[in-house]
Amino acid sequence: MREYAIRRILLLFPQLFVLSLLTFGITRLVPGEPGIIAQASDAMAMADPRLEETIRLHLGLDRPLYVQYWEWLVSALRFDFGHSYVNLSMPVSELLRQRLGPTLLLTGTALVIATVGGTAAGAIAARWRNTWIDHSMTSFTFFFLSVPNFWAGIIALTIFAIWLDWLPSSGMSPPGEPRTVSSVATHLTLPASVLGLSLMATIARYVRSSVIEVMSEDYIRTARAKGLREGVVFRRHALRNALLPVVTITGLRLPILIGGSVLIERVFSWPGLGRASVDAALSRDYPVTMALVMLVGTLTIVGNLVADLIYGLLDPRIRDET
Amino acid sequence: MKKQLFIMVAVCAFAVSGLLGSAQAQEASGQVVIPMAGMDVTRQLHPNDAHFEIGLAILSNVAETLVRYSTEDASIVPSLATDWEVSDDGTTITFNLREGVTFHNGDSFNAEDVMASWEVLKADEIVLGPFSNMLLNTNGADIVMVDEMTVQVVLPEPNPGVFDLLARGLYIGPKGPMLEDIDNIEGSRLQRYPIGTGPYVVVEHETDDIVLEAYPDYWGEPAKIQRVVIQAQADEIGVAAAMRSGEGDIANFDINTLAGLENEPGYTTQSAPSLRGCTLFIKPDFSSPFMAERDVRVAVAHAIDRQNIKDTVFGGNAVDLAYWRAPGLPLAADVPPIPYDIEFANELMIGAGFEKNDDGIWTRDGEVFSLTFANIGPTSSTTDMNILIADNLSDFGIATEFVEYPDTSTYRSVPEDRTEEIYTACTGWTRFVPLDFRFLAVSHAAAERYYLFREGFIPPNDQVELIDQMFQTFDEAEQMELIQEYIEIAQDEMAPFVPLVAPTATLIYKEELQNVNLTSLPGVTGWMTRIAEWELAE
Amino acid sequence: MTHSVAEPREQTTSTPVSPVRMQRRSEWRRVVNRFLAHRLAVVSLGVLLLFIAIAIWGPLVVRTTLNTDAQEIHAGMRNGPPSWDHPLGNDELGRDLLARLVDAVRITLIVGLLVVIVSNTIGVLVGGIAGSFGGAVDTTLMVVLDTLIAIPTFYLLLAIASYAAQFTVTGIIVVIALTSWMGIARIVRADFIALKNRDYVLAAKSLGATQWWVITRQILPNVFPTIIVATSLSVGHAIIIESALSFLGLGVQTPRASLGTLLSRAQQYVWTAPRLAILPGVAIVLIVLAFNYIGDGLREALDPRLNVDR
Repeated sequence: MREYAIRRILLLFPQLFVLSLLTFGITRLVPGEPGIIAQASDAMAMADPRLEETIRLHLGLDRPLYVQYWEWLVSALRFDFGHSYVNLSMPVSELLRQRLGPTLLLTGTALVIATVGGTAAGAIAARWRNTWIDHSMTSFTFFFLSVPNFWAGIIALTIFAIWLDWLPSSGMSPPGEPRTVSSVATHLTLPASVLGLSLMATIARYVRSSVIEVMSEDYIRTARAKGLREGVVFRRHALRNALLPVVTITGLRLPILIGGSVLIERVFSWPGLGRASVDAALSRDYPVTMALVMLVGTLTIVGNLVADLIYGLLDPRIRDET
Repeated sequence: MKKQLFIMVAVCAFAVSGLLGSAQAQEASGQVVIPMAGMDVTRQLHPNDAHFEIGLAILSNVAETLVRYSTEDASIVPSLATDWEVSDDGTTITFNLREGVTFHNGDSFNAEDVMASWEVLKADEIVLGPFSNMLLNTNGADIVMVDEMTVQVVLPEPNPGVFDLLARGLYIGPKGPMLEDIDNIEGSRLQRYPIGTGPYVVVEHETDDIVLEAYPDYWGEPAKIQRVVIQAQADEIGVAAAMRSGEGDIANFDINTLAGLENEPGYTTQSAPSLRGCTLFIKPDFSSPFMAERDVRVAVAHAIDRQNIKDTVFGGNAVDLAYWRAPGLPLAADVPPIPYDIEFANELMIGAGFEKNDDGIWTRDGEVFSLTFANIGPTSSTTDMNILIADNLSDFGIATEFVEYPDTSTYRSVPEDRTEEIYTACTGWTRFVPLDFRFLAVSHAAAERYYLFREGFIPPNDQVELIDQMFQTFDEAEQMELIQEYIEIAQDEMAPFVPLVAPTATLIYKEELQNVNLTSLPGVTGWMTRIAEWELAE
Repeated sequence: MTHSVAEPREQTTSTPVSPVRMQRRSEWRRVVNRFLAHRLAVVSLGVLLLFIAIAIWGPLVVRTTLNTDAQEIHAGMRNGPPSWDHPLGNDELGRDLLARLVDAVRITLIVGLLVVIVSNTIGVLVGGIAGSFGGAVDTTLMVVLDTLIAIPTFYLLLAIASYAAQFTVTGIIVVIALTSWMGIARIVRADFIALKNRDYVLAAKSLGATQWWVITRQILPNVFPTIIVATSLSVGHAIIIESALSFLGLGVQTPRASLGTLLSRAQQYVWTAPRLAILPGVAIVLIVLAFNYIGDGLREALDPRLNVDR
């Protein structure tokens, strides 16, 4: 386990290096004149080439790439991502700090909804395998896997926030009011559920097949042979053993969940990183896009590391390795 | 793409002028929620650094300028200046400042605050402030302090647009905090919590929403609504959803987004023409050699169905923008609107030696007439207009193609090699009119006011006289020359593109909200309302 | 965004993968039979063929029967209701909605399929190289791959989009492909490593077979079923990513439109002309659903081994 853990942790460094190269590379090497100049011109309706030059110098875009990379990296390590090109008054790190919490809350809730709901659905489907319950569950999971979540979001918003008026349509709290637990919870319900849907479907499918697989193992037969009731066998033995791989799957799907939150945040005006990322992309604000890729990437890489270590602790084959 | 055209709730006018303190201070109460899109790029509210229209829209509730637009008729009325005098040669304007005004931080207002704000404006090298600030700055104007309650604006030459510039820019902040951050305007606390003399104070601006509360010591008629919440929405659909679900009370909207809501009970809509034209990206490139010919351009201009654009893109809520003209020019100098007249366009093309090839495309000497359109991306009225225009032109016989979002310089509305010439002609009058149309729009405020007046949108006011007065400083021969030059430019150089259409601004709000005045505002900001005037019915 | 549906199912058949290349005919028949047994996959194949037919001949049919196309603007028909001339009505600029949809289906399918072709080519190459060379090459590639797979690629897409603000269709295909080849690379690499040590491969090597011969003749044919299954599953994924980008206005650009672009326009009219928002969404769901079911059917048919591991 120790060796495994050390190996796994050491892998973090090359990964973060690749991530930083990637982040910087994308924003500097993708064809297209750095957007700031066009951006500034648009903003100002300015057509004066001298202004473009001023901005260029001001932003240090005239220096060699590796110098720009190095400086960016050093600052990034200090959590200093410079200033937004568009919103000059706000340091990017400040923006990240404000937006990180809501995104973690949203994806975290979605993760919980997906895990709990997915496990329950998968277990039920496996328990009543090949009945109508199983079949309809399977159909639903396929359906949820095939619906673009932004579209599901708009439909859900229309139904629940506008027609039925059960839930608020946007934001984290009623306009202008401080965020309280109950107000955030109401605002969170709709986006988190929609976001969790497709992961829930994935997990349900994994749990179902994992449970079915476990049910055919010898020790289950033994348990049955001992005369234990089917329900007990199912809960005590099958389900528990079937859930281990779900941890890995959930960890692996984390990036997709977080990526999906971008659109959900947009649709529900959730003040998180995803909404910031779309705004930054649309206004070609690349200090922000770079910082977001870097931050979100780092978080998920670290998240994966944690998931792997937990898995290592849980899985006897790795745990007992010397 | 930012919805720059519509997102603005400019609150620029103060109907109350000299009668300060006369209002029986009625306790402000209640709250309105204004869902707004595009705010995530607009967190700058510094009095001299507010960005984009939204920033200005919010700032204009909080800080004030020397003169303002009235919500009645968009005329210039006193604000922090009580009255002014224009020198005989039109180059010096002396403003007397209002007494007894206090800033939100308790400082009292005087000429030094005006000077400090002007210093900050001049110190802001990157000039990303409000348009008018920059224009005022680069125009060679200066402001000098005469005494504690008097300042003078000194112009290098008469400029009828100067009042518009002063009304839109140069928000006055208190001397201390303004000068404290003069080297670090970007990082100033004033960006989040601007301090001004206006009827509202920013009380909450930490993360998402911006909350304004009525300023109890306001010098004029106090605001009637206690709290105003500007609710950040990710995009227009968010605004629409907030209005549909009843969470929002009032919104400025793209006619298409909330279409249908205006017919539902409980909602009121109000429109005002906005004279900011949708000409931004309707810029077929000038690389086609044919576009250098006047007749071709005029033909192209006549092949565009403006009525359909107005009906389709703006649901009929748009006006013809056929009246662009040089600032300050009298009404006689109208550029005639260009009709949709394919036959005439065909005649011009044939006259220019073109004939249609087998594909129905105009060709001359084997060369096909093609134009490229800039793809400006996501949903917007300008994209729609582009599509409609491209459709018109391809029906007319021009091969049209949409190309990637261009480097802005490629798609200027004026050919690069002729900019100098046009610049000289254009700036004969105002000197600061830059090359691009969008700038023309800024500087055309005064002319647009004429248009509004003449079309009956606003009653006669001082502005007409003021502009006339400015104009009289040129002798008649000069006037005629300027007019002629401008007409030529407008009809010739810019023929296909100048006279398009402009949307009307539309506010939609719950019926409880009353006394919402919406008026056209000349120039870029388009239109305005004033939150301090709004009332909530019981 | 969706989750690919490659995951274990219970073992439905006990047919083992033949150790050497398939004995073609009988194996092929078994594959077909297994696929046909998956009813939903067969239905989905029908649906997909229908969509492909629409994509190929739809525009022509629309032109001949309705005498219009996706770009033609019918003046004064803004948001027009369904009529004989325009069976699904008109969109916000007066274009025929049916023609728009048909054209969008074509672009969506083209983008989806090409993305997968490009991304799978990259994935097979990278996975193959990593799997067959091993050592430092493998380690390096795997670090890159693990990094890419571990980060939310949608953020990456947006970052790229913020630069090349307006993509061409080709640009979109390349960009989505560049951010979605990792899954297949990983699978292919694992298969390569597994197969590399099989007895028959080792035997061939000891008889003097070249690396190239081994890869092309012995390993690739056996990896092929995996690739096919992964491909059909990832088309759906690619289509959803594309529609998401287009929805945000960063994908397929005017005047062309994918189903996602139509959705992005239509979100404004979701309450006033709901069909503008609902129909493209339904089309996306149907296409993606079809690909997912087909992938599921193919997996059961082609590669029963996939049903137990992974």
